[in-house]
Parts: sequence; C-alpha cells; structure tokens
Amino acid sequence: MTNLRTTSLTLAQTLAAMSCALLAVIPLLWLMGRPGWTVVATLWEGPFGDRYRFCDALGRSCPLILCGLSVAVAFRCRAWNIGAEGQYVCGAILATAVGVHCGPPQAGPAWITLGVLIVAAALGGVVWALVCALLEVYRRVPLVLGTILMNFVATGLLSYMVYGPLQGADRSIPESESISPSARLLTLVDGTDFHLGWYAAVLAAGVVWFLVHHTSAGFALRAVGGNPVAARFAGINVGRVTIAAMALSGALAGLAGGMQVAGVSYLLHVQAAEGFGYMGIAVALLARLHPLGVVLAGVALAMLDVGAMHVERTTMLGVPADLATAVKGVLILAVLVFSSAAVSRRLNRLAAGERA
Amino acid sequence: MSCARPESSGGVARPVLELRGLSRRFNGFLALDGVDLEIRSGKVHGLVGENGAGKTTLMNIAAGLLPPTRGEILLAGRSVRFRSPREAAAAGIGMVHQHFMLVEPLSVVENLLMGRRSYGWWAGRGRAADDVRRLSERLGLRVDPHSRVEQLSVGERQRVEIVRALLGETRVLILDEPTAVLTPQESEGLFAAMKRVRDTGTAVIFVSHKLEEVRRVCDRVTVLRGGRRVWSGDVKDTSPADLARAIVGGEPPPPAARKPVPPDAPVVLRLIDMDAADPESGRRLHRLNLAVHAGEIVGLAGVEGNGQDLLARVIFGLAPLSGGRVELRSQDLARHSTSQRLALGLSHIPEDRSRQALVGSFSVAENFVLTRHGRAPFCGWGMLDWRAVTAAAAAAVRQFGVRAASIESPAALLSGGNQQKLVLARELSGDPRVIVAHNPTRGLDVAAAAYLSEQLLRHRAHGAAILLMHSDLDELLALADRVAVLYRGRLLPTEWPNTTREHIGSLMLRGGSAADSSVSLEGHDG
Amino acid sequence: MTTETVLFLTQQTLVLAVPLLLAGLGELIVERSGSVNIGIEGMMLAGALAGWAAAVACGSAWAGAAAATAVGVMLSALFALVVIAFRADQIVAGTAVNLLAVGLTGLVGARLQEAGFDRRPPVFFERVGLPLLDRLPGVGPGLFGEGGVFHQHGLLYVTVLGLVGCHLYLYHTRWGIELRALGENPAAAEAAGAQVNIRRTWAVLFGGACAGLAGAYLSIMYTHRFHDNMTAGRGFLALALVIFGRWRPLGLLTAGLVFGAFYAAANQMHVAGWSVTLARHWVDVAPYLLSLLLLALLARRASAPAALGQPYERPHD
Repeated sequence: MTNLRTTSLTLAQTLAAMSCALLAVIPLLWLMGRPGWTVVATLWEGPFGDRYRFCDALGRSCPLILCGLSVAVAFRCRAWNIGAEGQYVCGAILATAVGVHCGPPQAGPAWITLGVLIVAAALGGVVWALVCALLEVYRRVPLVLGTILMNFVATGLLSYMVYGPLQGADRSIPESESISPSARLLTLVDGTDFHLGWYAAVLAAGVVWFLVHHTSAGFALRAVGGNPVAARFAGINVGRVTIAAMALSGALAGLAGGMQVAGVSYLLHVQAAEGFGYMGIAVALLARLHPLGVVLAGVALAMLDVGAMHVERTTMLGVPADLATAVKGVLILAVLVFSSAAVSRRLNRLAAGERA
Repeated sequence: MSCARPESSGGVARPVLELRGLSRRFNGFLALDGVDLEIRSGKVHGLVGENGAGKTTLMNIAAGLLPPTRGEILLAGRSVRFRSPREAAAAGIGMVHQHFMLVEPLSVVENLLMGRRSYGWWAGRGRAADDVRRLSERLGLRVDPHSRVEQLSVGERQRVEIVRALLGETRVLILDEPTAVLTPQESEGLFAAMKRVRDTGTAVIFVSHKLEEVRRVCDRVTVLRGGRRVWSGDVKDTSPADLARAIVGGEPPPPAARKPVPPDAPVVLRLIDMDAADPESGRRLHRLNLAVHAGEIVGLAGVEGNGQDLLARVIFGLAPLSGGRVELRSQDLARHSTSQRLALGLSHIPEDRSRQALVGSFSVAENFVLTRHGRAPFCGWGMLDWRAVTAAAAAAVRQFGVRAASIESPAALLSGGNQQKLVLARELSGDPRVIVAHNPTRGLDVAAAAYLSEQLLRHRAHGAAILLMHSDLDELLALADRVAVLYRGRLLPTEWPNTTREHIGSLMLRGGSAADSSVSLEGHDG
Repeated sequence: MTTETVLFLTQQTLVLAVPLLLAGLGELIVERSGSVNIGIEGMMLAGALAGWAAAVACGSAWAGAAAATAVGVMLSALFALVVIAFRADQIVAGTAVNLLAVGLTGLVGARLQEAGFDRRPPVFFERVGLPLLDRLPGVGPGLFGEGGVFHQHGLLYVTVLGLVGCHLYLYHTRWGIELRALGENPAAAEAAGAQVNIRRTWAVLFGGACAGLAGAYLSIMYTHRFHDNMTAGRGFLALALVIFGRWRPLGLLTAGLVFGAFYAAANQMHVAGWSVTLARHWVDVAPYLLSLLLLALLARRASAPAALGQPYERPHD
C-alpha cells in the first residue's frame, strides 16, 4: 500500500546505502596497504566478468533469498529471528538424512524423493524455530537470545551428526555420504551452482508476498509488527501470530538448507553452516522487509559474495573473502542510517522543495 | 469578545514573570499568536480556555520545555532564554504537568534527587527526605519520602510533583489542569495548598478549563482562545457569563435534549460476581455486579488506577477472570475470544488511542478494518478484498468527518481529534450493541469532544448499551444516566441524579463516608 | 573428587568467569540506560584481535589492553551513532556490528598472518598471586599461592570491584539514579535535566570498552594467541547473564560465577577423557543449552528497565 513517491524514495535510500558501503570499504583497504580501487573493480569483475561465475552467483542467491524471506517474515511481526542459521542447519541435516537413505533401489520416481526431502528440510527448520517461538510466547524468553543460543546448539548437533549417525563410510572425514542422484536438484548450467532451486526460491518469494499483503493472516502479521498492543485489542492473537510467523520463517530457512544440500553440495559436512542465516538478515534489511525486494537483494548480495571470492582467488591482491562480511555489516548500518526517520524527513523536504 | 483590558493592578511592583508577544508554530500550525501575560507575586493567576486553546503550550514555553518561535520572556524584569526545563527550574519557575514526570520504580526522594546538584553526588537521602517532610508539612500535602512512586495513587503522585516543583527558591509555580485527575475532596486540599503557596509570596498559575474552580481560587484570570489572549482581568470584576462567553467566543450551545431510558429496556451487558486480578500491576476487581440496559449510558466514576483498565480488558477477554461471569444478552462470554466478542457486537473505545486502538504505520483504511479483517465482506477464503476495504473505509471517513490527506496515509499523521474520529468510525459503524469507552474525550478539542458526545447519545437513542468510564467527573456526569463508583476494584452504587457531586466525590476518594464535603487532605491519605 | 580437584575447579571457575562478567558489566550499564547492544560478541572478537596484535607489535601487554579497549570503544561509537543519533533499530544494528567485526577481524587477521605475527613470540599478562597471603599457614599456598584458587589475573579483581562499584553507583549515587531513570522513563529524566541521548551514548561507550577489554582477556591473558572466532558466543552469553542477574550487578556476579563453574566442569570432562566420545559435541554446546533452560525457568521480563530498546526523541525536535 505505498504510492510511487514512497517507493522511489525507498529505492533511492537503499541505493545510496549500497554505494556508501562499497565506498566505505576503500579507505579500509588502503589502511591495510591494499589497492582499494583495484579490489572494487575485481569485486565487480567477479560475477559480471564471466558467465560461469554469474551463474554461480545466481545459484548462491537461492539460499540467500530463502533466508532473506525467512528473516523478513519474522521481522515483519517483530519476531526477532536471528536463528535462521540454526534453522538452515536443521533443514540441511534432515535433507541429508532423507537423501542418503533413499538410494536408487528403494527410491520411487525422483520427484517423490525430492518432495520428501524438501518437506523434511522445511520441517527441520520449523521444529527448530518453534522451540524458540514457544519459549518466547509461553516462558517469555526473548526471541533474540533464544534463537542465537539455538544457533550454537545447532552447530553442536551438526558436529554430532557428521561425526556420528550420518557419517559416511570414510571415518576420517567429518562428512556424510553423498545423497542419492534421485534426490538431487537439476543443475541448470553445468559446472556452476545454478540449480532448479533458484526458481523455487523466486516462487516462494511470490507466495510470501501474496500471503503478507493479500491475506487476512498477513494483515494480522503486519498489524502485530506495527503495534502489538493495538493488534491485541483488535482481537488478534499475538502469540498465535508469532508462532505461525516463526514456523513459516523456520520452514523457509530450513528449505534453504535443504536446497543447498540437494542442489550444490550433495552431502553434509561439518562446515555446512556457511552463514547464510545471518546473511539473510542483511538481505531482508536491504529489501526493507518486502518479499519481492528480497529477490533483488538476495541476488545483489550473492553477486557481492562471488565478487569477494574472486578477489580472494586473485592472490596478488591479498584480500580474503571476509571482505564480503565486512561490507555487509557496513551495508546494514548504512541502510539503517539512510532509512532512519531523520534522513527520510530531510529527503522528503528535499523532494517537496523541488516541486514547490 | 476581544478587548484585552489593561492590567489594573494595585500599583504594585513589576510582575515577577512577563510573557511578551509569544508565538509558537508547529510545522505550519500556529498554536500561539502573540500572547502577552503578566504574573505577579503572591497572586493566583488563572489561565483558562478550552482544550486546544494553547494553554499548555504557553506554559511549556514558560517552563523551558519549548522555545518560542517569537516573543520574549522576562523574569523579574530581565529577559531570559531557557534551553531546558532544568534552567527554568533553576531560575525559579516550577511546573506540575498533566502527565507526571516520575520514575516509577524509584522512591520519592530518588525522584527528587535527580538533576539536583545541591544534594551532592552521594545520594544523600537523609537531607533530601528532611526537606521533603518539612515542605510537605508546610503545604499541608502529606508525602512519604521513602515510598516508591509505583505504590502511590494519582493524587499522591501529584503531591510529589508539587513538592518537587517547590523545592528550592521557586518564584512561579505552574499547575497544568491539576484537578482533572482528582476527586472533589482532593481538589479542595489542592486549593488550600495553593493558597498557602501564594501566601508565601510565590506566584501561582492555575491552568484549567473549569470555570467554577478558577473563580473560586484565583485572584486574576486570563482567557485564551485559538492561541490568542482574549480577556484578562481580576476575578472579582468578572461575571461567570462574561468568562464563559470569552472562552467559547459566543453563546455556549444548549445541552442536547434526551429521552429518558425506557423502564422495560432489556439488560444487554451483565457482569456477575466478577473477580479478576492483574499480576503485573497488582490491581484486582472484587465481586463486581453491574447491568447495562439497552439505550442507557452507565457511568463509572473513579480516580485513575482503581481498576478501570482491568475492567475494560476483562470485558473484552484481554485479561482472565478468576471468578464470576460476563454475559452478553444472557450468553456467557467465557469461551469467546476477543475477536469473537468484537464480532458479537461489543465495541471498545480505549483510553490511549495511539497505543491501544490504532496501528500508526497502517493506513486509515487498514485501521478501519483492523477489527474485522478476518470476516466478510472484507475477507473471503482467507484472502483480503482490498476493494471492499477501500470502499467501506471511504464511506465511513466521509460520514464521520475524518480529515486525512488520503485514505492510504498512515494513521500516525492524523491529528488527535481525527484519530479519535477514525476509532469512532471503526467502532460505531458496525451498529454495536455494547460500547465500552474509557476517557474518550481526553485530549480532544471542543469540537471533537462535542462530536463524540453527540455520537454516544445517538447510539444511546439507537438502543446501544454504553459503559462509560471517565476520570473527569464533570464530563462523566454530563453524559451518564446512572452512575456507580469504581473504588479499589469494587463497585459502589449511587443514586445519581438524586445525589450530589460531592457525595460521589467522597466515594471516589474513600469508598464511602459521611456526606462531608469540606474534608481536607490533612487527616488521611488518598 | 579430591580437594585438589575442587580447588582447581574453583580456580578455573574464576578464570573462565572473567570475560563473561566484564562484558556483562558493560552491557548491564548499557541496558540500564535503555539500549540493547547485541553487538558485544563482535566487539569482544575485535578486542581480542586488537589486544593480541598490539601486544605483539609493541612488545607490551598493556599496549594490548589499551588497544583492545580502544577498539571496543570505536565499534560502540559507531553503534551509538546509528541507534542513538539516527534512532535506528538496535537489534539489527547490533547484528550489523557483529558482521562488521567478523569481517574486519578476518581481513586484518589475514593481513597480520601475512606479516608473520603468529610466528612472533606471544606477549601476555601473567597471573598474580596475592603476595603476603600465601604465607598463611595451612590454606595459604592452596588459596593464594602459585596455582592456588586466587592465583588470577588482575583483571578478575578489577572486574569484581567494578561490579561492586556498579552496585554502589546505581543505588547510592545521584548519577546512578539518573542512569536508572534513563532506562525507565527517559522523558522524566530529561525533564529533570539529564540529557538522555548524551548519557546513553556514554553508557554505550563504556559497554564497548568493557567488551573490548573482555576480548583482550581471551587473547592476552587466558590464552596467549588469537584464533578465528575465539569468543565462541561468550558475548551472547553475557546478554543472557544480565537477564539472569535481573539487571543487578550482584545478580550478574552470581550468574557469571555459575556459568564459569559450568565452563570449568566442561573443560574437566574433556580432560577426563570424554573427548573421544560423541558426547563431546554436546558438552561443547552445554553452556548454551543450560542458558536456554535457565532462561525458560527463570526469565521474568517484568524486571527489565521499562524503556529498554526504545530510542528516545526529544518531543520538540
């Protein structure tokens, strides 16, 4: 329900924030004795200089979009779900369990196995998220803290799984067996990470958008996010909304984990927690919590990641991929500043002044 | 009526506080327009006007909370600029606001120590407590220095604020609508204290919209209307009719006629032996019994904090019952959720509209359907029909005169009066059977308050059962058919209209006593 | 369980509680003033790296401590700018600070590694015994001598004194009362003359200093090197400890000691040979599980400062 001017102002603020973040990194690189401009140029060259890397970026945007949706849905009703990482891991664990145990002899057609895998992944995320949601609603344990702590527990669970029940035949590596071929998502461009799951992610974004803006459940979600007290007085059951939002949020993050296993890694290893859950926060914020914006933001940040990895591989530059994480941190701060009330007011006055 | 009479003082020294040509603009809205005011020591000066006339804004400027857009302030002849309320207080201007600035978990002494360097950095509670005791005795306002603010009643908190404003060398004491939250007896105590303060030489400014009180206690009076000064003079030289005309700018409208409640009207809302407790605030309700008939307005009088908020929440299912029943037309509501109760025709106008009734970031249209977003005609198969929403909202906005830039603009941008109209539009357009309203006219200007009263009366004529809770006794008595008093969670019936305002006041204050209207506060606590 | 083991465990409890208590102290002040900083984790990590790097570079552990504190202050200044001056959402900003810190420590860490820092001899603080007390007959050596219970880093005593001082500050000084008002009713504090946003900024800077120094404890006192992700969630645990302690300094002290004991027990289990079993993964995450359990059983948010997490805007701005 925004008009054109609000949307264009929001876009302007977001673009300003992105440019700010990239530029802010340059002096930092100079301080470390690195060629700042060259690094940024290489950063750009990463996803855009090569067809394969571009597709890798798209492939990488799949978990980012899903995690971004997960965080956006939760944040929209003030449920501070910082636990997308743990929910992602649980999704990956369950997906691997399904994928490994549905080998060719027992398996039905591929789509059944894949279907079960996807449902299992979502379920893993849902369960992990529900624990925190129930703790918040019934025991008043703050979601922020609960979800962060559960992230650590999930890492422990992952370790346990890859050294224990899910460990593959080779007992020296903390890694599971590869999942059966019928449980794998089709790779759309050979040699890259771009798989069918990307379309599923975009579809999910559309579904979430419809849910949030065109259903009464979505209305209740936004009402709770806008003013939980008034929502309660209006008859909305805030606890139920929070739990439902966290369940959906967990499902999306779990799905991200499952798709990564089914589409990219084909197995579970101890480093499976790559940080997509935390990056989902950056994606959601960049998209200003709008489901359709999450697609754009997810792709943008995936490009950033691929660029940073390219920079890391260009060894003469000497800048590791942590650059991307730092940029994301600055980016979030920049978005917060540019979208703050103070800046919005000034921009509004500017826009009105030009017209007057 | 705009002649500003020249200051006819008794040829005394210059005024202790002078406001010259004060104007204040808020984002294009001119709240004050060139107001002059002279305040003399040892006098009680009344500042009257309707809600929205600019009284509070003017006093906030004098007390250092706001800078004026134009004009100057002279304290004992010297021009001053206050950059903070602390500076004004240090200069000798103390203000007691309508909304108390007290930190609840702290004790009285700790609240008073804040920002006061004179007691040093170590919380020297001893000295401060002594000062508090001494001052409170002198004024006849009992205050226990070591009690925590959260344990105090509204009247007691106001006493703390007065003591705070008078600690130190205060030359001018400003009281902003102090009687709005007091019982008649507590008001008497306040007036006595004000006179004592005046007799020590301090000037007192009494801001109020209640004429009778101003005439009783003030020496001089100034009238504000629409941000301008329209009258100033000695109280003894002014007739009540003149004052009333100056305030309203013409003849006051006659009270609306109303039909009496038919004797055979059915009971719509019934509370039976209702018991409830709120764990967080500690408030309780004890065996409440109340019946509201169709076509009547039942008024619940009471000082804030005696259970009004809890009662409203229990009726709507937002707080649990520990005993008894709430019945709507003989149907027990126990198993009905809040949204089910709203769907059955219960309608709620809560006290704090921006916090309890509206979602600020939602548009006018979205707020309009806030209570009905899950039902037809706005929702089918779980999906919202935005066209139906917009159409219904537009019609309601037109009907209720809600002034907003557009139906899509966020509710937070509406003025207070328009926000309340939006709440009314939502709650009253569904033809409610029961209306529960808590302080509905708080903070509204004359026109908006009159509109709200008119709406309530119209629905009363339509057969709605209305439960009205108001901390301002006069507002309540103007609307209610029957009156009961809510005191410490218990309901005390009255014979209104066959009883006096003072009797109701004493019930509000002490829950029942001999009809003694001249009790001061020195003999007991609130 | 021998007396020796008990004494050792007690000693380790104190050792392991220090970073939690110090970071928690900072966050206690921050939250009492009305802000929530979940970025302590990142500030601790940055402090750990800065402390180690400065100590090795300058050959002085004190330089390390100073650098760590400075880095904590700088990061928290950035946080304060965004959430106080621009009134942005505090949870999101805290997450951003964590990401920024992780990224920066990765970048700077790689640069330092390239420059050969981890091959240089480590520079660190030694633990100190309490000199005269170890001559007490009987208990002396066990408690106060080498390897005794109170053979600790000076920072432990500083932290405990800090907590006691904090208690006195909050409940017995005018500034402390004003600080508490900031978190409960900032409008009232402002009306009484305390400039809310300025004081909140000082509180946040103090919190950053504590977090940075707590990080340095990990890299130049407890261990003598820096490695990736060495804070391992201690910053988040500090947040939980503030809640367990009901936002009171002495409560925080108790909570911190309980968790220190827990870490000590976990370490002991590793040593006792549990490392080869699968259960070691659960032992590693036990502090977090315990935290969750305790929060579920004990958390009552009614005791939080009333205005926690809400940005303050002066009404006539």
